[in-house]
Parts: sequence; structure tokens; C-alpha cells
Amino acid sequence: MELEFISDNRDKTIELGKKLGRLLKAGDIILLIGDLGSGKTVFAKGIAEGMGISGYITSPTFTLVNEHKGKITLFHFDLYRLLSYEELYDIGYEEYFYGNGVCIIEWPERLGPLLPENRLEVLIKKGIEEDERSIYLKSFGKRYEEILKEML
Amino acid sequence: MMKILAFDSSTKTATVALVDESGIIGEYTINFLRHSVILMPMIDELLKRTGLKINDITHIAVSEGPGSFTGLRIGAATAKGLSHALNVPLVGVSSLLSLAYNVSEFDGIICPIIDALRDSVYTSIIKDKDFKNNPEVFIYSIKELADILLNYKEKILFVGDGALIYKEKLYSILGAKSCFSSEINNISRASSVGIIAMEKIKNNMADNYKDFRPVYVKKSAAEVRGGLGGVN
Repeated sequence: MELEFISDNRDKTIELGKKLGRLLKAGDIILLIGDLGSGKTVFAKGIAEGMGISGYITSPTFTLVNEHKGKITLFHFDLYRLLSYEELYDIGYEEYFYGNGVCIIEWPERLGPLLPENRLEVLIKKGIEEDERSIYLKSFGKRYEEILKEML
Repeated sequence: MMKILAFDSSTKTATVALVDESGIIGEYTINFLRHSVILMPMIDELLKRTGLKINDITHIAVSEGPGSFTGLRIGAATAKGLSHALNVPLVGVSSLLSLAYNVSEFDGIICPIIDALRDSVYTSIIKDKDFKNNPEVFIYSIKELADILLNYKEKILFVGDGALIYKEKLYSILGAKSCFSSEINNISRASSVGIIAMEKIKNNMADNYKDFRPVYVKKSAAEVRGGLGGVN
């Protein structure tokens, strides 16, 4: 299943993220795909807010993963600096991906063979106007199809 | 006189024990995942309550895995730090072997199982009651493990957190020859780690803080067909 949303400003992107964040449960995995500056972290901030996590959401480019405590723990990954997927073994990625939190993963292109089979992919594309974004949500697996139905 | 400080943080259980040649001096176990916060205070508390000083410790014993990645890092870091600072040997003990030791009286095959996430388990098949040498570690799905065990005639006792999670599935395949240990024995016990470590020390199998390595068992990555679907 695939949904498309158009956002013409930052606040609307955050709102969409919030709507998604409210639907998430422990074990959910959200991949954020888009160029530098496309608004992946803005969308992530919305998800966190929707999950009831306020705090300061920045991209964990240098730390690979940030942990935000809430009712459900949020693990926010940025894999931009990852040289090889094998580095993920060195941080024990499985306990994050298949544990009891929600994972948001920026730059999931770096996952290679460790790409989770069941996931929600969020693709953010810049539009013609400066703040315009096309946001595509695509589900892989039943759980994520249910989430998308709730997003309609 | 040996005084071994043993601990295990390889699973959900944080467990600390003091053992010597006469047996167990004390044990402290909390079955709740907060290892990075509670392990050191537990060691401190156990020493205080048993009237021992940290300098009385002659050996550090730690569960080397397999198990939770984060848990193994916490255990290894704590063990290496203490072993280095106290200048005492470090002994690594298999998490699967120490689980098996919880039920060492069993007359049959002992099969320790630790959950490895995503329907797979870390396991060993222990037939000869050798509690000195580390057993071979396998990573199987429960179905694979049960199919292998079908070939054995003996009764099989399952022990560990995986035994609890997969009890019904194992029983449905293996039937009456499968036995399951109680809640008391299904969790990691630092006293078992300590007793096994003592045997290893007597056989000159102690290690040191520089050479000790946790046992991470890496699963092979199975490629998801098609890769990312959102990138056009």
C-alpha cells in the first residue's frame, strides 16, 4: 500500500509526522528516505512529538543512534556516515530493530542486507516551491498496511 | 583460599555471586533489564552484606555469552575493569554452560536455549556433563533445533529464557521426551558461573583482562528481496 501527501510548509510536515507517531507501537520500524535538506529530521521530530516525546530531536549523524525515552522508547538512527552495513553488527543493531522500541532510520540505503523485511518507508521529495514536499508512505508487511489505513 | 566474584548480564537477568571452595557465599539476582545501572551497585551490596572487601577477591568470573549484545558489553567492561584494577585473573564462562549447570543433576541431554531474537536461538546440546570446556554454540530456529533433537533417544531438558518462550512449540514436535526446567533454574545464576569458573581455575584455564573477549555469535544476513522500495 502506498499513500502520497503534499506538504507546503514545515509545520504541515511535522503534523503528518505527528499523525504517524501517534499510531506507532513498540517494534515498529520507519525508514526515512530523501536528499540532504529534504526534511527527514523535521518529519522525525513530528513522529517523536506524536509519540509524546518532546525534547530536542537532532539528527544523530555522528553518534549513529539517539535514544529518546518516552512511554515507548524511540531510537533515531542516521546511517549517513556508515561505511559498511557490517558496522551495524558492532553496535548490536538487532536489539534496537527487533527489541521493544520504535526505530526511525535515516539513510536506510546503507542497511544493505540488514534491511528489515517488514517496515514503513517514507520518501520525501522536494517540490517546485521552496518549502513544498511530496511525502510518500509505503508499507511492507501487514502491520504497516494497518498503520497506513489509519493515516487515510 | 580462592574468593571468586562472578556475574552474568548476558540475558534479561542481572546476577552476582561470591563463591569459594566451600560453596556459595552469597548470590544476588534481579530479573529485570537495567544492567548498566544496577550491576556495580549489586556487586557493592553483595560484598557489604557478606562482610568481604573488594581486595579479598582472588578471581573475577563473567559470563562470556552468547546472549544480548548490550548485556555482554556491560559484563565484559565490568569484568575487565575489575580484573585490571585488582590485578586478578579473569575467567570467561559460557552462558549456555552455566544455564546447563543449574540443572546438572538431570540424567539425559541438557539443552540450554537463549533467545536470539527474530525466531532464532543460541543453543548447545550437552550430553557428557563436561562443565569445564565450553560447549559448541549453535544458532538455530526452534524448528531446526527440534528436528535435530528428534534424532536422540534420551530425554531432553530445556533450560533458559528460550525454553520458556518456545515451550509449546518444542513440546508439539518432541512430545513426552521433552522436559522443561522450573522458573528458578530458567534464569542465569551467577553462582553457576562461579562454580564452573572454579573448575576452570583448578585446571589452569583462567584468562586475563587483556585477552578476554565476549562471544558474539553473528547471524548471517539474509538479503531482503528487492531492497528499498521507496527509492525511485
